[in-house]
Amino acid sequence: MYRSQQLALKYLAAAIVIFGAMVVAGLMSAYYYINPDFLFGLLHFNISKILHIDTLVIWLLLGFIGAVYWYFPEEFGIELVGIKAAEVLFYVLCAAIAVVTLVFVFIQYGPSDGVGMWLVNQGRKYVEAPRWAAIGIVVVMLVFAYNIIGTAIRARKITGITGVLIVDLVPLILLYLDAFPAAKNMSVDLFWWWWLVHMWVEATWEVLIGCIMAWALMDLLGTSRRIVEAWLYIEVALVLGTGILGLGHHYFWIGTPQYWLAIGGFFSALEPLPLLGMVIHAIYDAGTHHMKTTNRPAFYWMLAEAFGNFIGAGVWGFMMTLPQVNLYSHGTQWTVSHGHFAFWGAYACGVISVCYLVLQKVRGSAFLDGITWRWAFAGLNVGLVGMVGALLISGFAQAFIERAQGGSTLEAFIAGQENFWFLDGMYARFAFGLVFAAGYAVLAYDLLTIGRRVPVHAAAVAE
Amino acid sequence: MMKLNLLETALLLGGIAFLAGCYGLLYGVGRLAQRQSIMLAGFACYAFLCMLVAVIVSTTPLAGPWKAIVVVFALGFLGIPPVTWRFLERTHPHRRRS
Amino acid sequence: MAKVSQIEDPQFWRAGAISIVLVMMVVLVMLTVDSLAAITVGGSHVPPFSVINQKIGYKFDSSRGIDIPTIGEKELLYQHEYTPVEAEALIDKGKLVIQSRACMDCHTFFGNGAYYGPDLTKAWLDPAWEGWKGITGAETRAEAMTRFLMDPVKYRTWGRAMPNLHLSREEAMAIVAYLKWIAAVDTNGFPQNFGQISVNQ
Repeated sequence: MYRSQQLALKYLAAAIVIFGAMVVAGLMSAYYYINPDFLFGLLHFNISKILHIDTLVIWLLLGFIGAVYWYFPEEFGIELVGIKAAEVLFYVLCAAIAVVTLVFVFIQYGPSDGVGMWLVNQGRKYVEAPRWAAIGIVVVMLVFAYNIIGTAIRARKITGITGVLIVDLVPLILLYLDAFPAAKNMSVDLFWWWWLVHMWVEATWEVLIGCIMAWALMDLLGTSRRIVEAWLYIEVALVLGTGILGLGHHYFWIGTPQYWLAIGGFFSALEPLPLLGMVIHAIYDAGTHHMKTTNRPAFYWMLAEAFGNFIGAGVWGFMMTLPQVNLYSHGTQWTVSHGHFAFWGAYACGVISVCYLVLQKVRGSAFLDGITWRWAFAGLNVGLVGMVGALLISGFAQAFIERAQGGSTLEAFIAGQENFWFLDGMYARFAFGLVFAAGYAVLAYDLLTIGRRVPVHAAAVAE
Repeated sequence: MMKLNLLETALLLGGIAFLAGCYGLLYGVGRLAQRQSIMLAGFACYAFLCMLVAVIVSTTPLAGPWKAIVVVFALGFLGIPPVTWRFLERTHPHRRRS
Repeated sequence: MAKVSQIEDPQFWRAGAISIVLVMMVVLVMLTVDSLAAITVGGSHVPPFSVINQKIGYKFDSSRGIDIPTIGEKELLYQHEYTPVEAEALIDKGKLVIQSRACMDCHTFFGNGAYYGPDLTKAWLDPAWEGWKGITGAETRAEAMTRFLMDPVKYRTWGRAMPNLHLSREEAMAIVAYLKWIAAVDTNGFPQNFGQISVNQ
């Protein structure tokens, strides 16, 4: 095993651990809606939310990095350039994540000046980490880029997948520079913040997961490089072709000119179309292999990725993206419903799939299957769908009562929050969150033990 | 937009996208299984999608250009499964339907 | 060897991907330049900081078909007429306070943030502050808001209370100024009908 693949295992393990932290913070955040006096005076909703959304970003990024470190040396047949630096940085990154978490939990808020921004809490969503930590993340990403680009240079070779990945890394890293400024003008702040957030999760991350899934398809199904690369380029064209100006769906209400309603609404509404193409591709691949595979969990999680992405990002997004609807749905639990479903389908399922692909190699299993992964799959997906369904009901109630009926005042906000549809949605969301958490526990157990529990015989190879 | 129109419009739009997915799924499964009945079920989903588009055009307070966009998208959803399938068959010659 | 048709050739799709991305990026950059002009302070959508010395309103504009902010006669904040430099410094401080207390992880601004607390886009105009004037013993809305922010637990009116974030008076005043200023940003009609309709109507 290459050293970078050993490092990949560490990254993927860290990803799953942080996924667990995200689940805990998520349950806490959900519980505040049910019991608003929970930890009152000790740890408030905003800190819990920060932990929840920041661990979301971190666990997915760790998963992406782990996946790339796993597949990259096999792509070129050589060890990754700068691997020693990457190995050291992994531990530095883990330490930094731990320190920032402790600062968020025990210090929480800093002074309203540069000291607070540099050392404690920057208070901008998803990028609350203090500036020193943000610098650390930039360093990690630059070393990652050095590993990737340096290896391609040493190998004197570039493939379609690695070419797309390398080009994608440039905006990925540059966009993160918006984690630093504290613009006083909220419109300017949000304008650039959305370049970071949207162009990460609806552009560069889509390309990154596309590269990872290309490797995964070659690994899992033996699909030819020619096919996955053609498909990757098509995906880049369609996803970025719709997503770049789809950025405009975040520019409806932040003070930007009114033409964004037309531009953002139109391009954003186009975004589900390539996702439908991905569903068709997934069906084709699954069917032409007669649903047979040597790695059942990876296969099913990959299917979940295609379908979850279409429904969570595509269907849920299409429901709320036209500005005429978004005027009411904006900033409500409806948004939360879409966000959870989209992140799950677009990224989480893909990272879990890669975990199983890697484990098959690590555990030396010719055929990976079992009962436990099915329970994890069921628990996580039922939990997730239950949560987003509950949030959708609450979101509908909130959009209707607070915005359409009430005019968005404090009185309207409270009326929405106290409405029984809203409240029932919050209770149901918490209940399904517990189901999701149980699914996560089973997943973690399965990842630790699959391939170790029962000896696998060559005769069990499916094809 | 009136309050009831808000939820109705959003659900119709979501329904259109969801039915497009159902149509795509059944189209693909039907092609794989070479069963006309499954493909017909897919086209039935698409027909239902067209009904929802008609409801959007006739009852929702969206402006004309937006209704036109919804109609055009519906046509796009019609073409994506067969065009994608044809592309996949051409590029996977050794995996053509057995 | 069989000739590979264009659509089976990844290079064809690579060219397509590059072309589409470049075209979209050029359009985005052009729109960005135009938008930045509009959202710069003093631009078409974002008022100068000194509007904190004036009365802010929100009313329906029939030519655009949406609610837009109105900037009216003089209405001093804290009985002080802020110079442009003072106003900018106060609003700069306000934004830093908002970030330092992670307000956006409970509340939303222009609908962006978290959804545990109310949206603050037009909070300056919220009719509820009239009630808080009585509760806090303040004579003006700004003073009521300031006292509330300094001790929201003492002045809580709802089961889901805002916690005490240990704001100094200076910090609370800066937030109030910030809220007054952003209430004057043209957000294309979001939130619709603010303060003009009620759930109890």
